[in-house]
Amino acid sequence: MFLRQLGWEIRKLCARPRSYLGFAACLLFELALILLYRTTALAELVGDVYWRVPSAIATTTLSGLTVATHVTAETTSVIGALFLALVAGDMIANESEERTLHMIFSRPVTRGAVVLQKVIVCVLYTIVFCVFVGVTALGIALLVEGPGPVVVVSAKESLVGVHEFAPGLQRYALAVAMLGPCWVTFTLLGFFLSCCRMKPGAATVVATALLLTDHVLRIQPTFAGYLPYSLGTRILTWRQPFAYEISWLRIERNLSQLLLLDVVLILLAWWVFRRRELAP
Amino acid sequence: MIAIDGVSKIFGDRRALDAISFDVARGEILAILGHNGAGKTTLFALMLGLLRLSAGDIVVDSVSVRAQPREARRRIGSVVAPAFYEYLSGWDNLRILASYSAPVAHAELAAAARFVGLTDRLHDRVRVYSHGMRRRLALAQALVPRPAVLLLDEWETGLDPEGVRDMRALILRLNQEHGITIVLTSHQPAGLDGLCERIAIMRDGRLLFVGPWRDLDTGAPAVRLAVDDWMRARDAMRALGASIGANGVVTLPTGGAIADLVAALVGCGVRVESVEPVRANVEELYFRALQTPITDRRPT
Repeated sequence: MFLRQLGWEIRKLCARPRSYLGFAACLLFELALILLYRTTALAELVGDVYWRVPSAIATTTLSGLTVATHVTAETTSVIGALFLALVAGDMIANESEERTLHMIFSRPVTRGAVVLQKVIVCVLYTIVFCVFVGVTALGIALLVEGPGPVVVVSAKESLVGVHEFAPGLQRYALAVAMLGPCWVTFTLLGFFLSCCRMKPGAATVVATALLLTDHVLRIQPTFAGYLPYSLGTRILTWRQPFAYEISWLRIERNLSQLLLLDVVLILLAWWVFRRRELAP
Repeated sequence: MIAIDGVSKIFGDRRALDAISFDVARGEILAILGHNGAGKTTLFALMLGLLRLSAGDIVVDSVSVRAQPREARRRIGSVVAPAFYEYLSGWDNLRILASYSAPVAHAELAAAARFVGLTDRLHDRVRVYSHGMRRRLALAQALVPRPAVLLLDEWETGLDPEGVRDMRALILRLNQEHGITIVLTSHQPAGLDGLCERIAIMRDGRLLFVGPWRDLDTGAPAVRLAVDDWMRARDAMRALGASIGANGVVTLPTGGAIADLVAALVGCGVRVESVEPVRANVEELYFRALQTPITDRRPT
């Protein structure tokens, strides 16, 4: 029964245009970014100032792999976050607003079972979405820029990594595999808000606003003390495989913290939702 | 089959339902009448566990809604503010909703769709369904798996006269052929007298009346008379305290007997050609009951 209901949850997700609209939007965004970085002046500027790729090698080593890494990060942070919040924010709030939730709970099903099914759908969607972004970004970047070493530098994450194409590709695969699990926490934040008594649009807006606030606090030197508590810092753990020496300890610690947050958000969502009355 | 015992529901400082108590017998059709906001749908939502009981309990087929809400819901099929996944077909909607109850064979789903007359358009998206088709789909989903009790909230809303007639026929078939106990709500008393023997009337969250239609008719008796001489007849009727209305309708004083009227008329030499008792129609009875002060009628 549970699996059958889960199957229908997935079917419902796939039948809604906004679920796959995010994939199309990401593809377009990636294509636009990669083509934009083809212009020499912008490539140097972005490589040097934004991506922190040393200027001496920026013009020669902005390879497909480097571009894919950065485009994946930007796409998930901008378009990805928006669509993950949209889908997660819709999960309960939209069904409540359209009253299909009343139809479900007029039947002998527990709220816990429905929450769990929707959580599983959120997690699956996030992982598929992130893998899609990583794979398509790599495909387009390799087609446009060609193979070459990968360069990833981030002072805030204490991350420096330059790898030849083959090992770089392995690191990229590992990073993309971690991308989904890292973003699941944000999706679950959207899901938790969806379980509260709010409109689906409001759940999406609040989730993205929280992520944006976290980002602003993280990048402002004034709030340097906030950095260890930032959600964004933990989400960016997926880039750690690009470090010269992969700090598994740091990855393990950050992923454990994200997992803990996931569990807390799921429990909160269930607690809030089971207390809710569904007024006719 | 259903025992509603001292049910109250309080939203903040508003008492939506106030100590409602009545029973519904197995195989019965009971209509709950009342204006918008009377508490009819709230009562259904409490039976389904969508809302929490503030006080009292509801027992459905020997299962307490308060103690075992899931088990109680297992016995109930409901059409309460029906809503569907518009982007999916009627068939998919049926399958989804049924999956939350029990494994249901495709043949049973198809039979439910056939029963409500939705077979031809079942695989169309719900988005293109008319209101009547949605009501049929709502009824079909309530029938899978086969419930012991069916709750129909405002069953006639949005239906054209033909749709009301068809839905009424479906309700009667469900009750008579399948023995399903049916509780329905309405704010339109017309047409209900042929559908159910007993009614409950609610106002402002309180139960005004529950019982057979005839128990509502406690007003003065009235007859439609045909006599040869109205002038003489009038004098005889006035002497009895009866009042004469339009179209030969004569209303007797409370407690007055038709036989006394006829005897008085014959005694005055009036030839009585016909005497036909006039009963108040269901709408008159309903509105009369609604105007009754709450303290005058206690639930039976």
